[in-house]
Amino acid sequence: MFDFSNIQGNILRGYASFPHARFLYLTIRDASDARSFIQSLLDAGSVTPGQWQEKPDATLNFALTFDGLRAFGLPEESLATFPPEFREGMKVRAEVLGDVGKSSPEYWDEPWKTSRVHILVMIYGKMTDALEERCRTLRQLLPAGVTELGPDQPAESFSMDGETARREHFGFADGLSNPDVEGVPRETGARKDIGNPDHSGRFRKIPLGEFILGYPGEGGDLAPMPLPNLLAHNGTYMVFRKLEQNVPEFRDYIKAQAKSFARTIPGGLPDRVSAEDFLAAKMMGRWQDGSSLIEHPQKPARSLANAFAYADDPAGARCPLGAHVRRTNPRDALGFGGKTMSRHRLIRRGITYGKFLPPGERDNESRGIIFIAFNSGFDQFEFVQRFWVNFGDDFEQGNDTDPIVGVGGRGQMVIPGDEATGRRPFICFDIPRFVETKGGDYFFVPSLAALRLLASGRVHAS
Amino acid sequence: MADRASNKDGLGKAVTFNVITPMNRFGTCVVRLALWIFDRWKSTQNTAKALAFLPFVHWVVVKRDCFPRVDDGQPTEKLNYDYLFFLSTFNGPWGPYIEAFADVLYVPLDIVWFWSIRYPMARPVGPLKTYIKRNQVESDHSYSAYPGASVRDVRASLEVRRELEQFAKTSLDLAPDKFATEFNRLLMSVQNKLGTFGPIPE
Repeated sequence: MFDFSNIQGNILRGYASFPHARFLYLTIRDASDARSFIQSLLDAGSVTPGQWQEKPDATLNFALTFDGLRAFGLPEESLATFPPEFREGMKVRAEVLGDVGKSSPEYWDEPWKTSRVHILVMIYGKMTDALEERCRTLRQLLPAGVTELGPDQPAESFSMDGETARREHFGFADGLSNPDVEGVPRETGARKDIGNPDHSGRFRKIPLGEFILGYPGEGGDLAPMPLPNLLAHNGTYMVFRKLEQNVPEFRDYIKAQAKSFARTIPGGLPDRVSAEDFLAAKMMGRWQDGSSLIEHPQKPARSLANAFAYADDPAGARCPLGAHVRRTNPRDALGFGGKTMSRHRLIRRGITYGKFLPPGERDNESRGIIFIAFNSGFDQFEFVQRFWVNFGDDFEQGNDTDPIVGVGGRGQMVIPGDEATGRRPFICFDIPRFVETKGGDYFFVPSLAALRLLASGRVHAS
Repeated sequence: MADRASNKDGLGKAVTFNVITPMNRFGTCVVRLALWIFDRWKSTQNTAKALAFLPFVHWVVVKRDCFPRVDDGQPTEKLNYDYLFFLSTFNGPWGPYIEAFADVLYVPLDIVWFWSIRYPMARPVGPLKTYIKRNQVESDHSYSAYPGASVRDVRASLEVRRELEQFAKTSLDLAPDKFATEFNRLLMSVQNKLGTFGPIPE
């Protein structure tokens, strides 16, 4: 058993009941001020742990970049033990991640474009009042040697009437398929969380070490840990990306392709399903309400059942091999009892920003998703991004990229036909890039004990 | 030695991977027998072939007195061990390749490499990675006939070509509606072999 009260709360909890969020970006100008600032927050019990006696109205969690750890005064012999991707940061990794063209750092939003954030403060609230109060309190505590980089990032999740699942701006239910992790209490993890497949076709829980440092992961392996152990143990690495969604362009593209797509279906579309919805579902791999294409290939079913597998759909007749959700969590699609995918799972804690654009309307506002992912090594995220999202070889898709979030750039996607229904194959050509990166970085999320160690200033690598 | 295989001067989607490990004398006999059996044992071959990111994998036993020399003037080395030469090409990054290889093929890996000096066993994979890094030799040059295509791409292209040539032969005199039916059947048969080609993402 691990100490759930020693890890930060947003790692294994989804904060689903905290729909309002604000992300504050801090920079350290004086290490002793930074240490006393963290100490004062710890003394006040302001940092939210994974286990609580009483549910708070607002939560607060911290993450630090490599430059942030250095600004904290961490000794070089400790800094040298952190992974190279983290030391470089996301800006340096831009080309590897496909952050090119309009997604390259020169086009990022502030403060990412010109500054390097040291501390990311993530505050979530059940209501906006509680959120604003927690932000105000934190800002009052800021010492002279720790300053805020503007602008901050508000975010807010939304859902459709009568639904529990959150939606993202393209209209799809989101956050449906996080990893089912060993040792996480049932009331903390969501019921729809899904583990990794085994040889019998069932799903098993994923070892904690895939997401938290200091515990065995898949195959019994420990992820490489920075030193000292107290700093790393119960900590994790976090990917933070501001991803802007071009909703009008997505809708225009779907609309333009839908008529041709509909002609591939003999006898016409299923009842109460539009060609736009059907095509968009094929690209995403789920219907907009979150129901699975594997279990409900003809029409949405308002079902969030998540224990489906791809092995019975090897050609992608129901869920295309190149669809977004099949790429980012291939389950048993790659064979070998899931062994070739099991080390590439991510805990995702995304939340939308910007106003939802009602269908048929256009505006110039920016909107998108704050993509947050936890893993015990950045190689997990970078593998998914490089080889599953921005490349297609593992899915027999050649160089075709993810049709929703891939770097694409006038790319293509094959939507396989279905011999059972007579639906013919359809190829989406000229797919624009619908999602652009607007900022972000790689972060270390220390345990509460590690935060105390950082605040003490007595960190030694040995 | 290198900590990562790469095509130093080559092109292509696959990178090369060479590992040379010393073996004890008894191991030489066992490994030769094991490789002889694997060569005829379909399940291991099929598993390796199904790992499509792994285009090529080959083990060779090099006896201590059989190392090649440039010419007769080169003195013969006196070696204490026979050597196991492992040669492979793979797509993708080094770490996940080793992990998948060890997770899926750990039994044959252990049988063949067990006799190599200080082999740590395939699982957990951390010590195996360290062992491979220490014994890996980087390729200076690797030739790829199709730099923008992986082995999957080449296999897919060959199949599309075969199907297309067959279709061309059988569709010459078809009526338009029958042609449409047959064309759709062709498209369905190759639908997951139509991905684009190009260099691997950096």
